[in-house]
Amino acid sequence: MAEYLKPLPTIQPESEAYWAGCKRHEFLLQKCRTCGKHQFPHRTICSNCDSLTTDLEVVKASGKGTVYTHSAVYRPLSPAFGPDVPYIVVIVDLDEGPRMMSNMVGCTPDEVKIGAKVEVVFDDVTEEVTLPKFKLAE
Amino acid sequence: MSGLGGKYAIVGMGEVAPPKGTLYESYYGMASEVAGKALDDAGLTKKDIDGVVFTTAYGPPFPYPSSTTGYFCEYASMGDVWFENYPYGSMPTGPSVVHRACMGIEAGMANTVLVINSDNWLTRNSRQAAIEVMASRAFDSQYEWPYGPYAMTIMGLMAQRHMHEYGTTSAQLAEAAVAARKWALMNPVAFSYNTAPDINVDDVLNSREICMPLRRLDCCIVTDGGTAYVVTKADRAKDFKKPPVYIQGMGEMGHGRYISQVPSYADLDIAGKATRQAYDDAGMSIKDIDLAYLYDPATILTLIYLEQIGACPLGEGGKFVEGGRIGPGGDFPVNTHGGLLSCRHSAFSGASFQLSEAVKQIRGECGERQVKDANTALCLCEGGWFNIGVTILSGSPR
Repeated sequence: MAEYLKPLPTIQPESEAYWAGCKRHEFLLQKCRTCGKHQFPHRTICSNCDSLTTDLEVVKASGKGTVYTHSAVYRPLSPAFGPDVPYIVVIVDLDEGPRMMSNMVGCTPDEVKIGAKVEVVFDDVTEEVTLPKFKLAE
Repeated sequence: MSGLGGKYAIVGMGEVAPPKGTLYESYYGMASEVAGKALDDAGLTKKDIDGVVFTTAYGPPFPYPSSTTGYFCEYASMGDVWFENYPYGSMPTGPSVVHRACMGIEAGMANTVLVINSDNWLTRNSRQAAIEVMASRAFDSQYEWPYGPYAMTIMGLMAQRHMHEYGTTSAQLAEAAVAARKWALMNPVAFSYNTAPDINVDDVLNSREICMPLRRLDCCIVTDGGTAYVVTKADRAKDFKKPPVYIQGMGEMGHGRYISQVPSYADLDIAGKATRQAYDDAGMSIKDIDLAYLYDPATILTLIYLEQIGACPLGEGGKFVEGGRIGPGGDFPVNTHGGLLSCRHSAFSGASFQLSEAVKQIRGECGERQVKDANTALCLCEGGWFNIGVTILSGSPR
């Protein structure tokens, strides 16, 4: 595999399960056993519950969502992103509720619209790290 | 509401504004130079100061960024003072750093406080490094940064959503850039005062793509620069060299850290809430505001903040700025210094040029860009991301 020069996630104790899931090509969210809500990013507590309960489980999510907003980037963050230009940064509202940032893949900037249905795909960027990205839903 | 509205005043102000093509090598040298200017403006020396509030930028040259104020006091040999340190991305932000001077005095920790915002941001980073350093600190290192965003990407995401919800157009965004440039061309403090061309809406629409829908001229510049202030109690404010500028209202509200978790990219209501705190503190409304200074790293934020401060209804920021309304000669002057778009953006100290300009406008020191009878100004700034500070200033005491 060619050397990967873009930023890699700094994995924290509370997110180990999430990144391990990505590596297995499983998209995992946390779910609170008290309020029943899904949560992202991963935390040690439920950010929805006023009690900050720690009664969470990790669950397999649908990997489906809707484009909240998007931007095609023509001036790359750094030279490592240069070959990808224009790359598409997207904010996805997941079907389970949480919002996340990602990249759109497999489409041109013109094809991405707010409200479009998207689904997760997994990009094995290094041997250790897999980034969840999104494509337009079939 | 702070309850401190009207009790404190700015009695001295200094600016250091290196023009394009000029390097400023020393971080603490710039901070000390701008401090000296503020002291001189007030008719004081460092011996008259018993409190220091200083802001910190990202990155070098200090091993402990949280100790920046201590390093400054060491450099300028200002001992036996109360001091506080505010890192970039914290609250307060930009102009609202003066709130901390007021709070310190109110709490009895000091009487005459020097507030410094200063950074040789461009010289010590280069433009590319400045963009990357800011991105590396401003985004979640797990969930955001790996996808390649930087500050302007966020602005592009917001502009896209604002257009979707409200029908805002690229030409309306461009109006904010045109107004900022026209003001900057009249401001010797602006980075590109003598070198940047006048621009029109078509120039913005034809500039190169950065983070769509934003183009080069929708985005701010990267510069060096610093401002400093002397803050003291309003009842002492007439004892100094220059006319005082009273801090009439303060608002501050934060929500967190990561842009991907902001609830709405179009209705940035936390800015509206912080502004209402400041209006309540000042006993004022939008009708009292002669000048607005709105944090504008990209054109979209000028429009969004015009909505949130109540200059126009939600979603009508685009329509509001049409026809040069916020530029020179317009009926609602915004960012009369040129803003981050065209005056300067030097990290934390970039937005502080809102405050130095507001002080100069209220004192009537702005030459050809002076807004007639300008007496009340609102400054709004955000930091890391969308934690909002709002400061209302006036030339008249409460």
